[in-house]
Amino acid sequence: MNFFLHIIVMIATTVPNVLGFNLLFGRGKIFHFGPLGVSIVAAYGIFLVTIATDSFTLGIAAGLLVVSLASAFFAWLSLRLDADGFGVMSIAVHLGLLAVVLNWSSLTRGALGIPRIPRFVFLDSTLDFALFSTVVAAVWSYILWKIDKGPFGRKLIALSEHEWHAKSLGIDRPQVHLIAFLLAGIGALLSNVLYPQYLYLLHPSDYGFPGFVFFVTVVVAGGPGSVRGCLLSLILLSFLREGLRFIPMAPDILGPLRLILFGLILYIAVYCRRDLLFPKQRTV
Amino acid sequence: MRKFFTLSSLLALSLTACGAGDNGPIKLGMISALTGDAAAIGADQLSGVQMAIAEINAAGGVNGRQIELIAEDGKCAGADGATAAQKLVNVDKVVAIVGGLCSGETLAAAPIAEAAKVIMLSPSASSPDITKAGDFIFRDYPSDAGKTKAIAKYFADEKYSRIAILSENTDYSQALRASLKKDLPEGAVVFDENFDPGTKDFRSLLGRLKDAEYDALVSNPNSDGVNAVIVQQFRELELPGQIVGTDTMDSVVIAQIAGEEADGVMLVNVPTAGEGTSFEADFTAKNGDPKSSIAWAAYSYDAVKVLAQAFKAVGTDGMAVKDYLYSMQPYTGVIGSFHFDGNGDPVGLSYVLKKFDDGKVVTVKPLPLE
Repeated sequence: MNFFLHIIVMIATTVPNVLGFNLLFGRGKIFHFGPLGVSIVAAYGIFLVTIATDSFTLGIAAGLLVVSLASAFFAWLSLRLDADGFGVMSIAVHLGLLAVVLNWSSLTRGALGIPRIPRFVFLDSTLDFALFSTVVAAVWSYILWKIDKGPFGRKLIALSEHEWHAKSLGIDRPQVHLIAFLLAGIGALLSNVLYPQYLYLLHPSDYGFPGFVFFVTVVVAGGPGSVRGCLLSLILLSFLREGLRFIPMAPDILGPLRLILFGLILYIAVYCRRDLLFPKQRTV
Repeated sequence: MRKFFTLSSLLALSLTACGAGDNGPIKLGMISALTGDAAAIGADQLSGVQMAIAEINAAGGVNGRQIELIAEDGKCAGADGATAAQKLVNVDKVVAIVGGLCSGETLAAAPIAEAAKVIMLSPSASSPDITKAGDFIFRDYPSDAGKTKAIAKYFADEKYSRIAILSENTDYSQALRASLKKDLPEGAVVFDENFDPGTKDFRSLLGRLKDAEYDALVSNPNSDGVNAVIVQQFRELELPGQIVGTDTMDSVVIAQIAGEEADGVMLVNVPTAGEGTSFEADFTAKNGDPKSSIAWAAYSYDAVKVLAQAFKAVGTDGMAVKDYLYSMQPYTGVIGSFHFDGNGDPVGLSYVLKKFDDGKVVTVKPLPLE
């Protein structure tokens, strides 16, 4: 039961971050490859301040501030650069932020990570975490679903389909981008206020490129832009990933096999979704 | 698409649900990096654990019970370490876990083992943070805190007062770096640079060493292969001073790659970690050459043997095994003779100064700690 609850926690703590990424990459077709860069900012912002002041309120406030700044910076970059250029730049920013965390060891403890992360007083057992993180994930999913289905979602779609014509209809691209990045940033904040608490550990190795590949797999397999599809694919892929641990095979074969299988899923998903991922621009 | 989701969900849930075990054999868990950057070390650890279990089982098992290994991939990452621990503890119901490999995955898995009163015995996590990870958390791999005291003693003996440190940006190397800086006199570190994992060209970093006045360079990467490259390029640039390494320098790979340029390199490590012993011969006969170093297999092998000794003496109850481990007499294994202190860290593993001489690692002198 605890293992099942653990998987629920891992899924629920990932939901806000993945749905935020889906809003940008899936719905907005913005080649944002640095969502884990924002996550690093969120996690270290929250817990460095929380540990220093012994106050979660101050920690979360600090996290919100730095996440807003990081999101605004990414939004600004997305407006200044072409889609491809922004993709490359967002990777560079992610790696840059990771390098800061790894090398500013007097503040972040670098590659050692920060152990004994404090927890909310009401989060003690795995069950507590499963319930609370599921509620947070459900509320956030509903909010993003409403936003996605509302005027803002339509503006984002319009900009992704044909920017000039969207602008001619009065859609303010800088404003839409800023809001979208801020929403994704809040998703990163929600995920990262819970995830290190659950592990009792904040470690930079959890914010590397493999984590981002999993995000892309979830969004592509679920159908770019679809909140429901992303939720389903996240649940399915997480259970599949951990379920594969139960295949009775030699461990030295099973480990690489799981990686190969995930590579295959990503390949098939991208192939099947290529029209949604890289749509032909509308001609009017 | 709906059919795909339904079928896949059923497959995933059925795979997740089919992990029930029986109470016949003693179930021993293992968390190591079976994939990822540290997979070579993980492969050696797995072979060492399998070798120990095969020997125990061939000799009749523990009180007539065979040991069954359930190994999980922790990938040297916190999330995977925690997931692996959750499965081993709550699904497989293992009685103890050998692992994790890295300090990060060990620290993430430790609270889960601690809450379930399941012993974790790491054969490679070196971070001083592990010391306070919990009452059920042990390791037979020395904490950096002891190792760096031995290095500092060597520097003091040799009157090396200006030290340069070159470290990989991994938790292993950074823990050692932090501990060494703490043990060296103030102002002794005159050059302290980190490099990213995967770096192979150190010429620009080492070039900057020319401008620093130093007596010794501590080469502190995560693997022997990178150490060999650092030694090679250090010699190529004709830099002065002594190169000093630790565990990852204690490998024949250094001499294989760097050739005669490895001669004269010093290192501080435990007296033996299986090199040149019958253990190494048996290991090589069964598994071929180590993927990384025989030491990782040796520490893992001894971890299993210590746990088996505890099971034999007090059974498999977590509390009883914990109490046994804290009070046990020194165990003599491949890596030497050791017991555990009140924090679950190994005591008794002494340190020696070794040297590369004619392509081989030879012991120079012991470095006793007060």
